[in-house]
Parts: sequence; C-alpha cells; structure tokens
Amino acid sequence: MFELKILLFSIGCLTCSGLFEDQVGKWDWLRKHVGPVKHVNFGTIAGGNIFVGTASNVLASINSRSGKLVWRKILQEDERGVIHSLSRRGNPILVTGSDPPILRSFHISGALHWETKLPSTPPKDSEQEHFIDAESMTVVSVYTSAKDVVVSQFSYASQETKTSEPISAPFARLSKCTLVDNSIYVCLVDQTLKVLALSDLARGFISSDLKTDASALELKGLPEGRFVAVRSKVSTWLYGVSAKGAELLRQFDDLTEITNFKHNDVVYQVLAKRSESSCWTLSVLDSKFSEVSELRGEICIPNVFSGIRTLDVMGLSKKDAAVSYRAVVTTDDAGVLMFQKEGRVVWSREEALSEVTNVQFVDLPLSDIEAHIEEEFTEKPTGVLSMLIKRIYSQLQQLATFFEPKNPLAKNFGLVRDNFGFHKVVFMATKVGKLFLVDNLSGDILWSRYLPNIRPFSNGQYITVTQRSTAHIPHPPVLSIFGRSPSGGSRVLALNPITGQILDDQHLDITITQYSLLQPNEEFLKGVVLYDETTRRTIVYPAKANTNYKHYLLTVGKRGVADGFLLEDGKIDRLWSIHLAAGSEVEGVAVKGQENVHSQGRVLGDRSVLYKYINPNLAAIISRSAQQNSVFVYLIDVVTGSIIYQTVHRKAKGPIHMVHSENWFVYSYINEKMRRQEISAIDLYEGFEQPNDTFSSFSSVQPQVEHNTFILPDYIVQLKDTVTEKGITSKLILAANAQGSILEIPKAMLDPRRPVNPTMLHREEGLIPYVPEILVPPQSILNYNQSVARVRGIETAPSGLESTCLVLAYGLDLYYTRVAPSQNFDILKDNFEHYFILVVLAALVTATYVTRALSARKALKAAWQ
Amino acid sequence: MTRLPHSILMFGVLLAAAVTSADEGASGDAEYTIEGKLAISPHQDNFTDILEATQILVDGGQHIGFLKDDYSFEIRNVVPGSYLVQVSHPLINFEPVRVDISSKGAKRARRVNNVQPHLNNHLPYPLKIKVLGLHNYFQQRETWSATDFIFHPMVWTMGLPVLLIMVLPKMMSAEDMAQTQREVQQMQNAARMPAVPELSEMMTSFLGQRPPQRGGASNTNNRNRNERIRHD
Repeated sequence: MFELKILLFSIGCLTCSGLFEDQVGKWDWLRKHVGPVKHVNFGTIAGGNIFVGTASNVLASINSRSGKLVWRKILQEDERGVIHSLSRRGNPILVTGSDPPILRSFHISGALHWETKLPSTPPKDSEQEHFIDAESMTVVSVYTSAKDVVVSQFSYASQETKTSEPISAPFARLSKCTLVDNSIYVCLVDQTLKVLALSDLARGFISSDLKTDASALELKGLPEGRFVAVRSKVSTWLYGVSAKGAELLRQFDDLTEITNFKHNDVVYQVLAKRSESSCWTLSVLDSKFSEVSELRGEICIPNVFSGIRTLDVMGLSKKDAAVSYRAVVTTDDAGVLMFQKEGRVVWSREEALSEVTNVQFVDLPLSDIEAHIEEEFTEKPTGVLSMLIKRIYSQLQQLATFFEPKNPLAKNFGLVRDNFGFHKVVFMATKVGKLFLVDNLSGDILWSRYLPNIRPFSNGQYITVTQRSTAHIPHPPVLSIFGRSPSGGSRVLALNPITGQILDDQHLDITITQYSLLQPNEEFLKGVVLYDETTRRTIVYPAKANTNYKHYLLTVGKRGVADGFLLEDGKIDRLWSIHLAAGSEVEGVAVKGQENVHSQGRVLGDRSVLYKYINPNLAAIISRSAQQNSVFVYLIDVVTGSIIYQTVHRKAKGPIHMVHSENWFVYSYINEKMRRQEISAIDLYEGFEQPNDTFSSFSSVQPQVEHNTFILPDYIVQLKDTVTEKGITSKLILAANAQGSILEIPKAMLDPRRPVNPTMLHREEGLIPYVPEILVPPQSILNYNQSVARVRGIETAPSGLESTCLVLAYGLDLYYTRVAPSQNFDILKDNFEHYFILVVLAALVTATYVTRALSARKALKAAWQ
Repeated sequence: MTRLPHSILMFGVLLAAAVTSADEGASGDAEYTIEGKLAISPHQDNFTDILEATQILVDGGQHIGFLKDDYSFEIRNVVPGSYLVQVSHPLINFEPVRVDISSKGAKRARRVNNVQPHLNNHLPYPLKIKVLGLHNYFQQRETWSATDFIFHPMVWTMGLPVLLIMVLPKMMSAEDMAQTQREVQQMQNAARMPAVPELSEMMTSFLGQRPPQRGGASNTNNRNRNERIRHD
C-alpha cells in the first residue's frame, strides 16, 4: 500500500502537464460527427429534434433549427451495429444487426425505451430487410433466399410473430425489392413489376408489365402511401401499387429525385429537377397529381457540397394552417443539409469529416514581408543602391507590422506562419473522397474538394506525400495524394495544400502498396518511388524525377512471409525472406518515422553512459496465430534481414497497436488468460561503448534488449507517440481508450528498466520502481471530458517550440490540442503576471527615488546637528 | 485459498438465482443477458446528461448497452465467458465490474482486479454500478493568498535575518544603549590614557619578556572589554 502511494505520487509528479480549468478550449477543439446519413426520422413535432441513422452505425438526435447534435448513440462498429431500418416519424425505433436483429426504441431524451430481439429465425443463407411501422409498432422482415421469400411480421404490442410459408420468388435475390406502406412488397424484375400484398400472401406475386424498353431501371419505394418510382437514365415513372398489381400514374423526365410526404392525410409527391448547376426546383403534386403552385420551391446546395443523393421531405402546417415543408438533403460527399420551403439552408453538417483516413500537418508559408526579405537573398544582385533601398523599405514595413496589434496566440491571424509554429493547417483525406484543409487553431474548414474518382486503397487509407514543403518560397508547396481509382489502377493528385489548387492529376496503372521519397531535384521537388507488391512493379512519380536511388523495402504478406527487397534505379532484387511463425497472420508492421533523436545515450546512476541502439532500418512486425493463440513479436533489420529480437506472448490476442521510435518499441495486446489489456515496452541499447557516428546495419553489434510488460486498466484502441522539433523533450505515449479518452503515459512509466527492487543507483538515475499496473490519473487525460468517439488514428506534429507537440485525434470525431510532454520550459506560462511584475517594478523604482530623497534630507539634518 | 469454499458456496447461490432469471433466448444458442443498474437515485439533479451521454461498454465496446430512464441496462446476446463491464461518462467515474457467465448461464459479478484477476471480490448481480465520484481532470491553479505568503519557508529564511538586523538593535532597551555608549566612551578614554596598554602591546610583551605583574581583577576586566568590542 505504501509502495502504491509512492507510485501515485511519482505519477502525479511526472505528468504535471495536466490542464488548468481556465485553459479549457483555449487551444483545443472537438468536432462531433454522426457519419453519413442513411435514414431520417422527422421526430414527433415539427421544429423539434430530428433523428438520423447513419452509415457509421450511429443514431443521433439533431436540433432541426440549428443542426447541433443533441445526443447520439454509438452502436457497435461491426455488422451487429448496422442500422437496417429507422422509423420515419415519432420516437426513433430502429433495427440493428442481423444475427439476430435487435429492435430498439429510444425516448426523445436519449434514454432507451425498450429493446427486444426480433424473434423470427431467418432461413439459412437469406438476405434480410426490415421495415418499421412506428404507428402500429410492427416490424415487417423479409428474408430473401435463392428460391423464395419469407415474410415475418412482428408486433411489439402483442409480442407476436406471424411468419409466412416460403413464397416462391426465384427473382427476388437478384432484383431490387422494397416494401411500401408496410403492406405491399414490390420487386422490379427486368421490365416487370412483381407485387405481393402482405394481406394476401397466399396469392403470391402478381406481375405487371412496365411497357417500356428502357434498360438499367431502378426501383424506389416512396416513403408514404402505396407508390413506387421506376427510374431510368432519363425518365421516371410513378406507379401506384395495390393488391391487384401496379398501375402507371405519371411519367416525368429528367428528375434528379422523387419523394413524397403526407400531411393531413394527403400524400404530396415531391419532384426535384435540376434548374442550374447547383440548384434544384422542387415541385409538389397533390393527390390528383396536379402541381400545387404555392408549394413550388427551389433549393440551392452551397458549393462546398456536391449534388443531391437523397431527399427527404417533411410536411408541416404554418401558423395560418397553410401547408409547408422542410427538406433534408444528403449529398454524395456525405453532407447533410436542412432546407426550408423558401430554399434557405437552415443548417448543414459536413459528415465526411467523420470518415477521415489520412491526416497531414502542413506548415504555413511565411508572411509576405518575411518572404520579401527571403527573396533578397535568392535574387541576383542588382546594384548597391537598389538593394539598400529594398532593404530599408522592407525593414520599415517590418517595423510597421511590429506595431500592429496582434497576438500570436490569437485564433485567426491570417494564413501565415506565427512565431512559435503553433499555427499550421491540417490536410485531411476522407473515405468518401473529399479532401479538406482545416485550420488547426480554430477547426474551420479552409477549403474542401470532392473527388468522385479517387478512393482509399484496400487498407482503408490513401498515401499522402509532401513533395515540396512551404519553405521554398517562389515554388508552391506540393502535396500528393495517391488513391485507388474506381476504374482500376491508381490515381494521383498533386495539389497546393494551402490554396487547394490542383497541380497535377494522373492515372497510374499500378496498385500502390508502398512508397518512398527520393532526393529533391533542383526545384526542391521530391520524387516518389511507388511499388506494387502483387506485380512487383515500381514506377517513379513524377516521371521526370531523379531516378538515381537505392532504397530498401520490406513487404509483409498477410500469410506471414516477410521479404526484403532492394530497389535500385528501377531494378528490384529480393535480398532475404523470413517465414514468421507458422499459421500466423500479420497484425501490423511498425517502422520509425523521420525524427530527431537528441540524446545518444542514458546516464546511469554511476555516471556511466548506456548508449542507445538507434537503427533507422529496424522494423517491428507483430503476427498472431489463432490456432496457437499467441502473439509473435519480431524486430527485424530490413537491410540485412537479421532478427534483432523476437518474443511470443502465449494466450494473447489483438487488437494490437504499436509505436516504434528512437531505440524503443511499445505495443499493446490483450492477455486472454488474465483478461486484461497489457502494454509491453522493448528498449534496445548498444552498451557502454560509444558507437560509431553513422549507423550501419552491416557492422552493428547485437543490442542489449530490455523488455517489460505493464497492465493498463482500460482497453486501448490507438497508440501514438509525441514528436518535437529536436527530440530533446521527453516522449509521451498517447493511448486512446474505448471510452474515448486520450491518456498521456510518459515513456518513463513504460521504461523496461524500471527495477523491482530499486537500489541507490536506480534512485540516482531517477528510475521509477516497477509496479505492474499503470494507473493514469484523470489529470493525464489529454482531452479531459471531451471524449472522442471511435478514435481511428492520432496524428502528432512538432510545433516551432521544442517543448510543444500538436496532436489531432480523428475517428468519428475530430479533436485537436497541443501537449507539452516536459512542461512549457521554453515559453512563459499563460498565466504569467505581466501586469503584476510591471506594477512591482514601478513601485520599486518609485520607492528608490523616494527613499533617496528621504535619506538625503536625513543626512542634511544630521549634518546640522 | 481459505476463501475458496466460500466462493463455491456463493457460486451455488448465484446459480440458483440465475436459473430463475434465465433468458428467453438462452435455449438454443446459449446467449445470455447481462443486467444491471446504476446506483444513483433518479432525482439526482447535478447529473443531468446521464441518459444522453452514458455508454455501457463490455470488453471495450465488444458489446454495447444503453440506459433506460430508470438507469437500468441490459446487454443482450452475450456468450458465456468473462467480461469487463465499464460505464463510461465524460464526467462521472463509475466502478468497473467483471461479470462471469458460466456455460450453464450462471452469472456472478466481481470487483475488477487486474493484477490478481482470479481474486474473488463478490459484487451483487444484477449489477449495481456505484459512482466513485467525479473525474477531476484539472490541476489546481495556484492562487495568491496572504497566508501562503507568510508561511512560505523562503519568506522565513529571508525575513528572519532582516528582522534581526532591523529590530534587534531597537529591542535593546535605553539603559542597554546607555551602557554600551558608556563603555564605548570608557574605551575611548582608555585609549587616550597611555597607562592602559594596547592588546597587541600586551601580547608582544607577554610573548617577548615577562610583563610586569598586575592585579588579576584588571586583567579580567580587560578581557571582558575586548570581548565586547568584538561583539560590537
């Protein structure tokens, strides 16, 4: 117990980087998202909260006036959390998962009302669809197998299920089917509509010919009434369906979207037709299909969003009892917007930011004046006088800006570099193909661009490469993004990250799995070597880049073979190949990033130095074998293929997360035997001899390995280390847990040399005694109560100050902050009392003069005596 | 080890309890429900967003539960095994609980002990999740206060000598001062009188040749005087 107290005390001291309460929101921000909207529920009252079910498996309540998130329920990320259906009105009732499907009803307040398993057992190999009727509290489930459909109706009120006999429908699996009005099941088969009335299942499907020769038809069930729309590229046919079959009602041309709404028991059809490039006319038809002219409206989508994907309309009564409506539009780039009838955008949400895959911090360019000064040094000399005038002019300007009121820590301060390097911009790429540039201080979107023809690679990520930074003033910065092209191959887009201007757009005919940067050319542009693991092809982008290179490459196949290659001027040679543990699958590979390591060694208690083993070619591979129920860890030198260290954890499983930096490797896994999260740290040391200045994999010694494992009381979903400019500041391991907190764990806590029985030397060195469990105090939670849902990644970047590191956590939410792992040693504290010190100094100066005068008077008096 | 029989007994009792609360779906595919409740009264005013913001995470989100408005929750479709139930709320710290479900469907709850996971610290089942307190995410800002200033050791080490220098001479009473002045006067007088030898003279004469013998009283007087001079 006493030891525990010491430990707590020492943790408290190590992580004094906690926040003060008045610093909340000063340099951090959180953007909460819900994901791309799939289902819309207009709620109980007009103007109240609406509910959305999203593709990210989130049910959310959104204020219909402001668009603000009221509450959200985050379901499981896997298929058990998939929202199949959401009621259209009233309390949100939703069906999630398929094995078994679960029906849940929530209160408007966010509390769970009730929850039940859908009792019907689906036939084998069947696809399922669920349709909710909120008014009668029934769920119609349709199970489609290769030969027939089974319809099951569950009533919550009576808790009864009626399951039909299999109805022969060999077409249903391959065609688009839907249920309208919770009573008629409609399938579109080639040019025929097949209609099944739930009230008369025995009758089976009734076919009605569409009498059209258009191909590539699509079926859409309209939300209200017994209507379906059949759409081809140019035309849209509106059908009324009943137990007797389908009946053509109207034909429309060039519609973007058709939907309907019910108000005062009248079903109004809403047609959206493109009028201008980003505007759509909404025409509303009444029950007799004649247009209601006073309900005609036009909606214009702001140009930060792409075109309409879905349209949902809710009818409402105005104060004078006239009918009006509101429309919720989702766009192809995952935006969601609420429109009034008059066409005003009530609110919009950028939900593409919930699917960020890649994040890159970009330095801002110098301000114009500083750039001007820089230019003086690059220009050719043009004569003494003109240069003198130029210099005086620019320095006068500098003087003028110096007196302009500005605060380098203030949030919006122009897109120029600040003194401390705190202000950067963050480039983000998202799964839906939308790119963003976000200001890191305010979280504002500076530009966004939707690219319909670029998607992440099969690992769910793009490759983003900074080819030229903002430091080379006359040349624009270049950031390239490589992604999969939907038509096959890859696509590369080179753009200026500050302005968003596209500099190059190319199609490459290889699938990129790895890349490496080349030496910059005379215009400071770094080329990229791209490598395709499956076809073993390599190309250089841009094609005219410097092609003299020699790069070592590690490829790790899913089936547990690691290969080392040498890429030399376009040739590929296999150097070595290692078979990892039999039957194991690779869970992850970690190589070191580009970073500075300031200290070459550690000073021990007896003043001797233990030198670090800093091998830039070291890669860590972790694989897991399901049959052996073990996790295997390898540290491999990529150049020589020698295994520097390997270990195994029996009865362990993933998810595995890892951080590889300097001379250490930290990874987390779950110990199944003890049922706890463990985090393991490996430190590598060369020994007490000073190593050579430059490291060589061919001549290096086998390092001393220190390895120790610790327990964490939380489940880790992501690990990352902090980076600083020069690598002097000690490191923090940032661990995001399942609750959405980001824990700061100092590397000193994850030091494998922590002694179980500390001696004087250990104490002299400052090692914390070993205790198995790492307790993280709440003061060390980086994002305090601003929980970040489903963290998928944490990106860190150095600021201009050595003490400070910029952190962006992304997942469903975005959270940005900055962290000082060794406290702010190079910047005044933000509560530094400037005025107090000024007052004290002024008081001292006055006191000096006053006392001088007084003492002079006294001396004079004394002299007279 | 002495605890073992006790825990088996408890296990038996729980088994009996669990059979009565067996699930409807437990028949075929052996899936069970974890039930529990937050141990807070529904009228607690200072926790306003519990229903909106609370998540119940089983094994870090493998299963997810939602609160009903009486603060109870159920987690469905859980296969037999051992699970960590955490209630996550941004402000309130709830006690985590480990729930074990046997293959027969018997459930028991234990206190979480990561270092010795097999230790049996029974908790009631259905779960009663206790509030451990509010998370204190923030450091206390040091505020300036007069008492802090006064009791600061630096103030004492700096202040005491100053006090001694400034105040002690004043503390000497008037007669002391007069006494000192008188003595100083005497000393000056003595210095003027050639009959009284200097200390250095005395020493040289003492070390060189035997000085002429004088009365013991005058000698002690002299030493006293010297000491006083050194003091002043």
